[in-house]
Amino acid sequence: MICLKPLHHTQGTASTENSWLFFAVISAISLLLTFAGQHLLFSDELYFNALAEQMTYEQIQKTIAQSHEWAWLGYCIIPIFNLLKFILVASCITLGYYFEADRWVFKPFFRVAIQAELVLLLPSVIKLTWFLFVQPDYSLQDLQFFYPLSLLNLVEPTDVAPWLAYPLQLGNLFELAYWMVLAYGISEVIETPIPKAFGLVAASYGSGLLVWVVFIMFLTVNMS
Amino acid sequence: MKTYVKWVLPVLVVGLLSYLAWGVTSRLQRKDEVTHRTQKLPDFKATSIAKTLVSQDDFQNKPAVLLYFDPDCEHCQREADELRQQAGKLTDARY
Repeated sequence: MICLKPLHHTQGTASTENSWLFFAVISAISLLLTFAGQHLLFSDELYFNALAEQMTYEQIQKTIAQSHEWAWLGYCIIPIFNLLKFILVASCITLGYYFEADRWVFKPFFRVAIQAELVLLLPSVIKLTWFLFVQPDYSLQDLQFFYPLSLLNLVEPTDVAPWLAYPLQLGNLFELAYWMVLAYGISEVIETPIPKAFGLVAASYGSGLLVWVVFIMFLTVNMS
Repeated sequence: MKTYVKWVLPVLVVGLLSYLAWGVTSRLQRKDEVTHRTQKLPDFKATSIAKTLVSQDDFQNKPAVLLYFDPDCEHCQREADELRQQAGKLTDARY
């Protein structure tokens, strides 16, 4: 279980160091999972099968070669993306707490955001295990639309309009667990009951997430 | 300053959300209109490979399958061949 210390213990240098240590660990796990996914799940054959009807053999070969060439960029982006995400989540909660209590607190929330991210790594682990052991015969589309315990599982992914796929994928039990872990962390940091902290998460992080989801829907609708 | 932030931020969030939601709905509406419009073939005249004139009248409200592709394109040729093999399944349609 994740251990979270109350606010008065967490504003020292040790806590800051802890945050960066956690950040390094989370980023390392994300990198490892992405690397494992790329090498164990995605094969050249999978791309050939998926793209055979749209491209010539040479074009597919060129696309695969290009994706291998730029793979390093994908790995570099992961820690930067993680850092941005934690800063945004912590900022949302900071603002929410400021609205509620007129106090600016950032670092402890940043740490809570990093720790809670562990929950969101679980789907990647499940995805890896699922396609390696449970359903070894899969297509590129299966990999794209696989999101365990989400609303997307209740409908046929290919029937869903592209702009609806992201919100449906985001409505999943891991996201709910993430909210709860955030609420637990915040309740420890600001020493408040969990239901109240959950309300803070819903109002602050929830609003931020809503803007993000609508923004992604906007982009999908305008690009497809 | 403090009250200012507490007013401006929610207004900004609501404004941004409204703009994005408007963008999504208006774009979807436009797509619907296009889908509706393209359900029926517009008036047209074209020359077939056999040098005969083809127009909308030839289809007479029957479902039509139009294959529009570049004859030099390698995978289009493959796709056209696969479609030709399945053509018999659409008995009512004109090609």
